[in-house]
Amino acid sequence: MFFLQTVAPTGGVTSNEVFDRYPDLVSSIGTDMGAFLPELVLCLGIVWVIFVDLFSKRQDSRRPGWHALGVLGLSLLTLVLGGFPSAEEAGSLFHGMVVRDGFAVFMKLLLTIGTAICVPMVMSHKDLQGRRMGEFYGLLLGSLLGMYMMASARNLLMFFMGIEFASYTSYLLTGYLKGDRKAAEGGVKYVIYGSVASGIMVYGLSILYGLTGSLDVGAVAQALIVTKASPSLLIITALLCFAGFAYKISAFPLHFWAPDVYEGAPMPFTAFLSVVSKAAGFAILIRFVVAFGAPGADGQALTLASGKVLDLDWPQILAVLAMFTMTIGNLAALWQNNFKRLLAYSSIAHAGYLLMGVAAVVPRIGAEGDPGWQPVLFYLVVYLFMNLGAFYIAQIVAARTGTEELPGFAGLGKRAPVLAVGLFLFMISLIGLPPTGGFTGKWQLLKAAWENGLHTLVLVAVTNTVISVYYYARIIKLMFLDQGDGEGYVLPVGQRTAVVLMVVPILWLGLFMDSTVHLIRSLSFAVIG
Amino acid sequence: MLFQYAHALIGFLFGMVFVALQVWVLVRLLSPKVKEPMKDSTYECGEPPVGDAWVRFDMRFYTMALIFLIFEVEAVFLFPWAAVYNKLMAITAGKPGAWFPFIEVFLFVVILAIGLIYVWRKGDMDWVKTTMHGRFDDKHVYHVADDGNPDKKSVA
Repeated sequence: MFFLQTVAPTGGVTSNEVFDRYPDLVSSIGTDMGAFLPELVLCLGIVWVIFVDLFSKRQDSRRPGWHALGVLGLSLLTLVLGGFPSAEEAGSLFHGMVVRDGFAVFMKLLLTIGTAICVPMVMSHKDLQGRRMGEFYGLLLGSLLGMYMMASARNLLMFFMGIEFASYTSYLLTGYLKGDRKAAEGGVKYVIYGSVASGIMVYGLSILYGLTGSLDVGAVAQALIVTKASPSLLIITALLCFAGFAYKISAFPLHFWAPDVYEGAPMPFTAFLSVVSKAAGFAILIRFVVAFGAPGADGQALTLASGKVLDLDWPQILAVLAMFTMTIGNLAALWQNNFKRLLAYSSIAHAGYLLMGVAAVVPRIGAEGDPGWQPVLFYLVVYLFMNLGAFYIAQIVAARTGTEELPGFAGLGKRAPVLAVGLFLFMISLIGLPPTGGFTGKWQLLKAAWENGLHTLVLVAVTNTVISVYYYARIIKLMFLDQGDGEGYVLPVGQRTAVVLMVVPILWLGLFMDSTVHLIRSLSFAVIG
Repeated sequence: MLFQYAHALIGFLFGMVFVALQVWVLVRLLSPKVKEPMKDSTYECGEPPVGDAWVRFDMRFYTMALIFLIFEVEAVFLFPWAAVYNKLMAITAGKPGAWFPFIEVFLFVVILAIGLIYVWRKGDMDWVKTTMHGRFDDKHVYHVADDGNPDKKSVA
């Protein structure tokens, strides 16, 4: 204590104080529970889905899937009925543990829709049949619950709890196919990388606690301004905390787990990881950056953003990481022959593009007008549909051809035109070409980065987009120009509808993006502190 | 700037030297030396060790240990709760949060009970149960199951 002169005086809480505060603590919980309804639905749903499977007489692996969809629908309904809280209604629940604001509700909607798209994929996956499937859905819903927490946390402990809860369930689901060597390898690698990353993050969070004596994000941000911690310590703390988020969004330098895990995990869960998990990671990263990233108002005040490493400040560090992430993802993707691995590297590249948006958030914190995170959220919406769509089609093709390698897509244009056209549009969108949502989304990200002075980053991102054309277009060439063996097949109505349902939002977001942009711009964000 | 942490470094170095001194030097000088074959054997709670420690343990021990965890966690959290229960109930009586101390722990026990129901239904409470090839039923008749599925009809 005597050598660490930055500890803020907090004063211990005596046991009598706890008893005195107890009625107040308890009385608000009941009212907060009403706003917590989507999470409660999920909590009960997890148990319900497992028990439906456990007590069913017939072994029907699809049945818990329908129930999981029901739970997700109910949760979605409670979210929609709750509406987006306005700036006045936004606030924190459970004594500052979680916030309820438009941003959190929007992210929860996004996460729920993403999971709901993954569930039918699980139901139709050929390896995910037979016994104990109720547990798979239970774990999937559990992961979603953890991500709800990530989207709305405002306490450092909730940050950690949310990330860990989402991670542990993900580890289990990655290695769910016990007999599969690749699944086991992916699961173990995921556990090792995940625990190291969260260990580093907890270290960073513990320094924050040590500096300020508080776990509440608002209180920490306030206390940091008055502490006299050295800038180097602050930037190191910020980077340590960033490790946990970087691992969740598979950003450089914590992206190494992604290809093996994506390849080993069952296809529907790979889709879940690459989209839903990543969206939750960005939600918590944005919250962290907005809370701690604001530069000191008068040049004197200190925040986590005031530190510098090698003369780089916080947005510049994020920009450099974004550059590395997108470049590594794209260059590695060029050599891939496995569809899942290819999309794994592609998703690393997209994490880079999104990180570019986060880097552009920093200069806009506290400024008037639209919040800086609007392009990131828009791109996440687009990314959700285009990536899930690509995985969905890949799963259908893999089930038909029996391989997840790229040659399995050869001649798809003749065999199954609906799938080929769908995948073509998703690839176009992943490249970022009009008339798809990928174009409008990426354009907004680039615009935000350019307007906030990250010119080099924009150039790198554009170059990367050009590189990425090669491997996305390779799939398009395989589908339409190459000859493939195998007979043509007629898609079941359900699958055809599903493909159309995912293509429509991509085109909608590409052609009529205004309504979505306005919605995101109008979201309230509980300013912490 | 970083010099303020110098005494931490000094303390750390001193600690390292001190430990090394104890482990390698002081022990050699001070400890009595009694040579006896039993001193080299594995310590097993004072009993002379029997056999090799590298035997295979039955998986069922681990399952049992996990099931035990349900009850243990229950006990660990119920004791401190029971110690303050009367006081909390007295404080909240007649206020908006009345019965909260009871409801909270009730939910906690229900959640653990769900875990118990789960393992029960899965058959993990039975010591004699499914193996890779089949299982014994209540009358000790062996049933073959090709995928370890206890719901399968008996073959033998």
